[in-house]
Amino acid sequence: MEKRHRILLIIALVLLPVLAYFHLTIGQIQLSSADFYNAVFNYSDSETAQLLVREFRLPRLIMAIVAGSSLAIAGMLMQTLFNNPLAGPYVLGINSGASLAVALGTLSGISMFSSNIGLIGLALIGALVFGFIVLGFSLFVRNSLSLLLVGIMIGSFTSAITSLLQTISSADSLKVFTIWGMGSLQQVELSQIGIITVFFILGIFFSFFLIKPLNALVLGENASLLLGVPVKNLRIIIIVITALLAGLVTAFCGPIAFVGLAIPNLCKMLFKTQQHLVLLLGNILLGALFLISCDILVQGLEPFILVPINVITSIVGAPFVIFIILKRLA
Amino acid sequence: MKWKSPILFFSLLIAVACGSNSTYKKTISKEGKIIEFAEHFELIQDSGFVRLHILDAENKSIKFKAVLAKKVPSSLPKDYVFIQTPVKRMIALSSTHIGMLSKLEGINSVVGVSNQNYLDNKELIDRTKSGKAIELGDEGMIPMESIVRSQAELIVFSDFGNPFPHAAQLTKLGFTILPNVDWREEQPLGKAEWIKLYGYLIGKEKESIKIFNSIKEKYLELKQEMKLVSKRPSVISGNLIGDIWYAPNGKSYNAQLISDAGGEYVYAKTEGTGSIMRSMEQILSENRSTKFWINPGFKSKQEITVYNPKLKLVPAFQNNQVYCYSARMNYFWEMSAVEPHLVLEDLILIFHPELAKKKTFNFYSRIN
Amino acid sequence: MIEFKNTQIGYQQPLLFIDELNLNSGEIHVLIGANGKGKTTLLKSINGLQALVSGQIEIDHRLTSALNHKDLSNLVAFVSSKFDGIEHLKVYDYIALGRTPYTNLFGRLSSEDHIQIQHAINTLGIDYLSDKLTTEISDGERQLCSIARAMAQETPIITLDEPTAFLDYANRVKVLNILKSLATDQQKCIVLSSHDIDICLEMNLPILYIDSNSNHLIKTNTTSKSLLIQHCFGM
Repeated sequence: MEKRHRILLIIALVLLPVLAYFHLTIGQIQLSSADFYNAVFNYSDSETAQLLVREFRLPRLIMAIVAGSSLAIAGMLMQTLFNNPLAGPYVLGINSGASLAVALGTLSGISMFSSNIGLIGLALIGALVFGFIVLGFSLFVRNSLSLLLVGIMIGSFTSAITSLLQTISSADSLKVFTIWGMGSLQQVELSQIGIITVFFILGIFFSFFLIKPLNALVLGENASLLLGVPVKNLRIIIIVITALLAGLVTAFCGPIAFVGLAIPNLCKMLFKTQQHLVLLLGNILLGALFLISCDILVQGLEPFILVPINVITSIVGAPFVIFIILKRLA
Repeated sequence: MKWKSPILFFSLLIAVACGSNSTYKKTISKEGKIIEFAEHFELIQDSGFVRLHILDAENKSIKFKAVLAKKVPSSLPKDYVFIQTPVKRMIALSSTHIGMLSKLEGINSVVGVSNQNYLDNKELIDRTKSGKAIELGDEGMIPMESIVRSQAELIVFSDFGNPFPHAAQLTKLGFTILPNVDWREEQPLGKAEWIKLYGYLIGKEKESIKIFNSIKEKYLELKQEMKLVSKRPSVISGNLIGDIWYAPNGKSYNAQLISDAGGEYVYAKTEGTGSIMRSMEQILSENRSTKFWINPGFKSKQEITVYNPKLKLVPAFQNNQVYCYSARMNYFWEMSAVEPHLVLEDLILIFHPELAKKKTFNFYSRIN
Repeated sequence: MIEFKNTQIGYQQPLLFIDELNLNSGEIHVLIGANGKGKTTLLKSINGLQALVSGQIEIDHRLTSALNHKDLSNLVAFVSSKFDGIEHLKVYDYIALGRTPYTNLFGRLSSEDHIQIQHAINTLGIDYLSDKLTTEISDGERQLCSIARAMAQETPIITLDEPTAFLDYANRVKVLNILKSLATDQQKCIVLSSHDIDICLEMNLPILYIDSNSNHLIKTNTTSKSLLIQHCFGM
């Protein structure tokens, strides 16, 4: 690893607790460090301040880190697999599957499906089912480009069905679905953080084993094969990890836009390398930093206006993606 | 002394004559207006017909003008639609419309409803089942053919700002489309007063006035009693959708009901139209000592917890002081608008049970 | 090193026939033939990317049909006709990718790997390019890097598909000379396809040509251009 990479990664690592601190304390209600300490070690649920820390601030922070990192990693995997800087974690259509499941559930009018646990369950099932569908296709397609096209078509198809569902539903159900689609880091419960963290760590863990084949993959699929990389198996593992990470985030947060698209590109530009060890670490850190920053902004705006997280990630992310496109065409 | 008797006689005569028409006279102001409280419609007695004005929800400009009469008047004022009364076939798309018609025993004039699942009125459910009234679907999706099939004279829909679908074609075919803005009324009596609209439409003017006056008296009586109460418990209303808690603003219909029932609405000092939005953190910190939580929109504490586990942190929830009309939701949506005095009774029973005359609920129940 | 027996090269239908042919270490062979006659397909078949219609190829006495991609990566390295460079990828790192079959699970380069990479760089004479980005050098330089990468892969066989197609005259000669010395000095088995009949004949390189009538692959040491053209193109 180059010196430049080391320095940047260390800076990012140091920034993480700094931004985390801001994230925990910028909320409208003032909390003291005693509140934080007690919330973790001497918890008493009758104290509103501690309650806020445990039930609201901590889950929100952890979710921001997990979601930001996961989406960035997934985006990186997709961009290397398809050799396309505009590929994001949702490009395989897995997210569309989660969306469709949630749409079917909320627009069915059955109140169970609109509940916190209902939405999570639906999104997970949707992501899983579509993950398998995409996996199935990946066994038959000749190359990754075909798979990309299949994914995009799946995405279009499910979008069309979701639109249809929206037109025939009542205003109330529609509102639930629409709000889910805006993304939220606040729906996650403290009790769910445990399992989320486990799968997050699993996803990262297995991603490390992909570093070597990903490095070779930049040469193209044929060249990788000739270097002994089992491309077909690699494709499968990448899809599984992407589905796991992106599906996890979508299930607990709804679809969060632009992070998976912008951050991997930012990393490439910042680190100027194709070395996936550096890129992986970079995406983990920068993804988390980015989403925490966006959520700090959301909290900062709270006294004036309640803004969904997607609004912020889009406002920041979209211009950046345009910038990437322009730079590439230059 | 001889000239005193005729004067006395005529005075008495006039007094009696005025007395019998006292109800009618009280409701007609100098300009012939029939409406006291409602701010979004006007009924004005003119020579030989009644003018109906529906006022825009936001700026109160007149957006719909109609003339109600048994026959087309010789000179129909410009831009006024003629509605021949009594209307015998009407499409009523919202619950409030149905509730008001039922109070007037005018359900037999309903030939179209939105969705049978939202109905509570038994007579109307039977009519829908037997085909006398057609199920038309949600407003955005009503097929024109269904409307034509209903052979309605009048379509009453809740106007939230968007025009009724296919309005131009339907008007050409002879349907009259009446925008109902009762949802916008902030005064409970103003909302209930819309019963007069239906009264005038279906030829039961006097009944509608009589019914409204009775409701008005009962309501104002209760309100006056509660004005004298000094200890007012704090109340929060509304619920989360996603991350945002939507609560009525301080001037709204719900806020007024709470206040008239002797409650202290926590957000009584907010301004503006529409709901106010709060984050869950704000709700928790601003309602640490709020006694009651009304209108969460669910039937049980279990449902609420499943919906969003964070809601069980609301102190009123933990103290079992959550109340809602969820036992019979459709019934509430149909009748609460036209019977605000019954809603007031319920709220008084919640906030000041020791002062309530009736010890049973009309609409509400405690959420367990 | 490479043994063909009754081999039929092609997709569903046979394109090219090789009755019996041995290509040994320390030898360089140039594949010559008209377009579409199966040169690329032959190279793909040796590389293991294309199955045979019938017959067999043995590499180092092992049937290619029995070898998986991992095995083949230790035996055959491939150079394509053009490398466009990859952004942010340095020349050294690009050549280092040739070591993929040998590095550990995380791709860490050992000192042996570095030795091999440097050896390849030195042989190709491109030490001055090491720190440059693959996108910042010329086509000719990139081609040399590709060959270096194939060398770093430390395989007994190197196959190249028209490696000189996009090079200027000087670079063509340079590349062919390097390949010739890789065969003689490093004892590699080099097989390349080319349309540079003139240069190959001048350098006396052994030719494998595809007869345009019989579609058979025939080995020859001829230096007669006219004869070669006659057989390959029927002119």
